[in-house]
Amino acid sequence: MRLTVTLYGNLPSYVGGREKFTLELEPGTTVQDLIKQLRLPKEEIWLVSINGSRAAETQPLRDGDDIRIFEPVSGG
Amino acid sequence: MPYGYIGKILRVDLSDSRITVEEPEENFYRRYFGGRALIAYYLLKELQPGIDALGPENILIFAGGVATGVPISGSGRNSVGAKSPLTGGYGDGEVGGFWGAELKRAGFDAIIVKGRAEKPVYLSVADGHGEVRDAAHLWGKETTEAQKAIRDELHDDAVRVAQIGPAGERLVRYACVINDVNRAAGRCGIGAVMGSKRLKAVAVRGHQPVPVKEPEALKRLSQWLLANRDLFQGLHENGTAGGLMALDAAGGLPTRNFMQGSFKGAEAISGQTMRDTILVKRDTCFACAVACKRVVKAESPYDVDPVYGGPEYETCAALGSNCMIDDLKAVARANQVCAANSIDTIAVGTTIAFAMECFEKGILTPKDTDGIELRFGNAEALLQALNLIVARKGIGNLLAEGVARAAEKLGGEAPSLAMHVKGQEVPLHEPRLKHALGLGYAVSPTGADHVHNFHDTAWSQETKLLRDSKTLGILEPLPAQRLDARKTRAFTYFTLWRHFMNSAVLCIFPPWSYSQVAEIIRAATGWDTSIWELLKVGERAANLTRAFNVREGFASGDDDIPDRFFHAFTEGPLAGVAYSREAFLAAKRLYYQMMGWDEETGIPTAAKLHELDLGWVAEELGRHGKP
Repeated sequence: MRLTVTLYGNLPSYVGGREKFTLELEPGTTVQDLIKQLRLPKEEIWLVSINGSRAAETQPLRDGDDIRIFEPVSGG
Repeated sequence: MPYGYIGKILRVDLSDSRITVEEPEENFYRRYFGGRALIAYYLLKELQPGIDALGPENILIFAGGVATGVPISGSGRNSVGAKSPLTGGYGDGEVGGFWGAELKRAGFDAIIVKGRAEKPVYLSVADGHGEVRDAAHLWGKETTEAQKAIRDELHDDAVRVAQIGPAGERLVRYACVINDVNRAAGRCGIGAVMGSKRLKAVAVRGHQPVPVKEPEALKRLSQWLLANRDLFQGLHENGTAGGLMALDAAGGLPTRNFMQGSFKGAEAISGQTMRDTILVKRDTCFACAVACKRVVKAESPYDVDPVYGGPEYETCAALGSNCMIDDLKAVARANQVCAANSIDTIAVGTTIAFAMECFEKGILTPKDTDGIELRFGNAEALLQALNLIVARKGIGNLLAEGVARAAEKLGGEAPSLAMHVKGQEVPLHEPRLKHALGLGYAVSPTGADHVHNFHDTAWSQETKLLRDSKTLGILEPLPAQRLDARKTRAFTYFTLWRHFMNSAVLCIFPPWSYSQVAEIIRAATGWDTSIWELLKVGERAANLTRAFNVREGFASGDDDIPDRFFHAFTEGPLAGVAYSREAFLAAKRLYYQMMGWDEETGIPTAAKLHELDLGWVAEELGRHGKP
């Protein structure tokens, strides 16, 4: 299955500066698996949304999903 | 010979154009540092309580800090303070750019302005000298035009200008002070104070580098920062509005005058969209590697001149989501109008969002608005309202008074829709997402503020901020939607640090740890200082500003936030998540206790003031029967 991933804040620096990209993944891959595969540090991830709704770590991904991964936000 | 600071403060009395120089001793600087603590010191010493903030009795202070202008990222800022015409209490705004560093190069740590000029004037400060000059020909000019005229007549394009535009001249109560035509000392209405003194601008120029005790140490710190670009790459790439989408996803993006926490048009006004559409380049402040500033350009239907920079997150949310505007060009155009006329984008956005809600509820009608359909999502109407505010005409004259006064005048249900604390419009951060932030809005000396505050979402897991904060003894993550004793303790420590940062007037965006900030101060001044001593400077600032407000008659009941924040959202990611008034009130009382303030009144105890070497403040409060 093919899906789109967008990384926010400083997260692109963990994947060579890529911010928005498409990925081919095995069916059954979950949010957690994706994070592992991208080697994103868990402590830097605040929330993940799929197609505009907040997703749980165990949520399986589907073909065509729009996945967005956010780091914790501060303010100022 | 002093290092870091210059040792001179310029004093100007506009009533007779008299200029004098004060030379405080070293311990004054070590105790009060600059920025907030220094401004609060002079306001407490030299103002009588109850004076009109827009009268000649008010004093206006421009101040850097002991590390302002030294060659390190984050050191280019300055504060501008006075008694606030919005809150009637202590007021200041901090601003980046190049003006603060230039003030130090010109030979002064601060400028204190008193009185009122008979005719418009501006102040020129160059290489140790100040001069009051005629500004009749500049009055009424927008910021870019006025800056050009000043540089032309001083024959120097490197002159740095802090100034007000027409909104400041017309005493719009949330007028700000604009540096370099595109940076704003936004909050507290200090631009209106400047206008009330008929002071159009302060132009500074100097050729003396700020003396640094250990330049090699600063170089090492700069090298560390450059080797760790990943820590600020997101901010550099997409600016402060790069975080807007995360807030939207979390359900904490102020929308529809804080009635909602998510906005369908969020992506269209995000930092990422800005980069991909109207961004023409990135900009930075004095000596800063982060370069978080935006420069945008747009044409038809909304012309946007890149000279005015580009909108920050606060502006995108204030004039975008909170007014339900999803057109970034319109937001950028509104940002330009604010920079050209010296208006705080936060305050005016929160005020217009209020007016839109009033319009939709029938509290304001087309008769009141000169026919403007002031509805959420109507970008044209927003720009029309903004222009009327600048001109103080029609509905604009009411809204120019700020949301609190406008709501009082409208009466009925209106005050319950006005989002402010102590008269200061609420910035674009949501207490239902960040529970301690709500406490911060309430107890801040300047009314609702987001910088000397606590953003709970950055503390809910092992972030760099939390890892750094272990040096303060904050050891474990704290859930964002909780306001218990542990959270209150972390809030107390961290906001003292932020009061320190506003006294050193250092930027919060370079990712310096606490220890590195202490190193910067040591390297700049040569003082063998520590995080402990710097936190105490912050605590001094928190107590001086509170004492100022206490003397003005503020009481514990004023430390409150709009009731809307205690009602859970009905939709979005935070639907049904309560922020309880009981938890808020308990945390407020506990905060007073942790601060060494009276738990009922919130007045600093004499013991606490003596502990901070502020015995004179205890005596001053005693003279006014407080406590």
